[in-house]
Amino acid sequence: MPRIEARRRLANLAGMGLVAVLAAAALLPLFHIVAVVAVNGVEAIERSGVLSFLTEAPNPLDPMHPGGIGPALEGTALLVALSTLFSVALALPAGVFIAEFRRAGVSRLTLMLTLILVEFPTVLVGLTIYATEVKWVGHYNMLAGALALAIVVLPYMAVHVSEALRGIPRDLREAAFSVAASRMKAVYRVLLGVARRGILVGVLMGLAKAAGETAPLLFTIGGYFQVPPQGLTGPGGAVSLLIYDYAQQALPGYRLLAWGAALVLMVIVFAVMIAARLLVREVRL
Amino acid sequence: MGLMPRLRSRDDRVFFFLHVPTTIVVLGILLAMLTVLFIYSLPVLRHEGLRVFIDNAWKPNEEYYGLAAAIFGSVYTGLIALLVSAPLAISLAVALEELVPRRLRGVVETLSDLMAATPTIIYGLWAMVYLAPLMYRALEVLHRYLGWLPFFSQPPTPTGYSIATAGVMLGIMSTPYAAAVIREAYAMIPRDLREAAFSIGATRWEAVRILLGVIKPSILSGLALAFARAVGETVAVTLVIGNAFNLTLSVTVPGITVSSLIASQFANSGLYRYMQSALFAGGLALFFIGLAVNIVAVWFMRKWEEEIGHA
Repeated sequence: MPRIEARRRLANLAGMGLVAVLAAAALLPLFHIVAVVAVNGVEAIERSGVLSFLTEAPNPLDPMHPGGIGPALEGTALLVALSTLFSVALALPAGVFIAEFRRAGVSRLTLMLTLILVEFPTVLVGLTIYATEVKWVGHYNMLAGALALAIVVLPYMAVHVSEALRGIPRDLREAAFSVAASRMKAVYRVLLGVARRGILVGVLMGLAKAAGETAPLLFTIGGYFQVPPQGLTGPGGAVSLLIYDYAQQALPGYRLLAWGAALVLMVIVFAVMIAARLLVREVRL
Repeated sequence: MGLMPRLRSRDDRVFFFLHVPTTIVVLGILLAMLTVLFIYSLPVLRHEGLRVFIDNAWKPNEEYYGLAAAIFGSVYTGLIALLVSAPLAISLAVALEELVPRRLRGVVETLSDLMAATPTIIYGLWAMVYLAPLMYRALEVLHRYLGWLPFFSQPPTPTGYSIATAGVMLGIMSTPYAAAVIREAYAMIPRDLREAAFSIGATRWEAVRILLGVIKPSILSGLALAFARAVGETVAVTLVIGNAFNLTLSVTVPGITVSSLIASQFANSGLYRYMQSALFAGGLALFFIGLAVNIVAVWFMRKWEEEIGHA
């Protein structure tokens, strides 16, 4: 009897120890990635100076003065702003529909399709936009990239909106319906206001996703990193695409710029995500 | 429960019908992708028939294309990713609920979320420069001692760009996603079930194993999502897989996936008559793989929600 106990105790120790080790191993790469991106990125940015790195055009052939990622950063800003606008416009009603009619077949179907789209291969979105919008316009353009990103982000945001709405307590919901003239007004004027933090978190997370996505941009925006995008119908670049392109070049100046761009992108994405998290925490309190 | 909701008033009907277009948009996105991919695949399908999916060939000069290596590579790297992420994700989820002190939980959770949000291109750059050389050394050892296994039968390529490197990287990057799904379910397990396990004298480890059994559907859902993510990943894989048309079980050599094929060949595809169409055919195959995996993930999620609903 005591022998079995000892064996179980040992199994407990070994099992939980294994869980602890594997859990630490799961997060370990994050620390290494952050460290090497920081070290290599700072080295790249130092050579040009922070301001120059963020505003100037790249000069990859001179590793001592590599220039910056200004035009690509402008491209990312444009793409993120536009795609967030598109995806919010569609994700709000979609999320409302899913949350408001949660028992009806149509909205359950919508939820299922949305969930399927969340992890759908994003390269296919890029191909589809290429075959339609880009072919139609005749050349690569920023609008195509923004559309592709919006499609990628839309399902993600819609799920967040519907969950934020679902979290509203029943009595608050009934109060909204009792004061508003119509269901449209009750939902859009009152309930979306009540759930605004949750929705904002979803929007911020979608925005972070849009900033980091690369595959939807491969066949849509063209990838020009020397000049900022000339309007929506012209081609342009993005930070993520710059990293992808420059990482594959043999000359050291390109790799250096890729690391600097990676640091800038990581700082943007992490800042947005942490802002979202702080909002969540305030909601819970 | 019908397709339509109960609409009690005119106001309700207006509200409902104004929102129906959102269903059409979401469904439309999927159908538009399918239609476009199919139409653009037609030239190569007419030219080669279904052999384009079965043969392993990439001969632009002969205008002959076969996607076997790429389709196999997508599934194979996805499976390796699953092998890596399954133990890591389950452990991370369990550790967060069972081992991490309450005060630190928010911090660890944030780290996991940040890891999930890190752009995949950054994983790719990291894997290309740091993971690949490390993997080369590991694969060399594996090849030397376990070379009799088909998985390590071929000598590794010195760059480290290989099926194994891509698979391990995909596993690392999809772990926090799977962990989030699993953890959410774990936290939702009714309290009395936990206490019941402890009351019959279970050790913590035994209780964890019982509870993991309870949330099996959502573990499977989380892992299916991780697999979907791995299969769909494009740029990071393109950087580290080496893009060679190898149809082999040996993970030590370069390979190719559908998405890395599309990403790496698209720029040149305009120079040939059927190459772009062949790439779209690859996209079509990826569409069905992605659809199947995601349906499985959603199905398991539903199953879990039903179970917890009954509990």
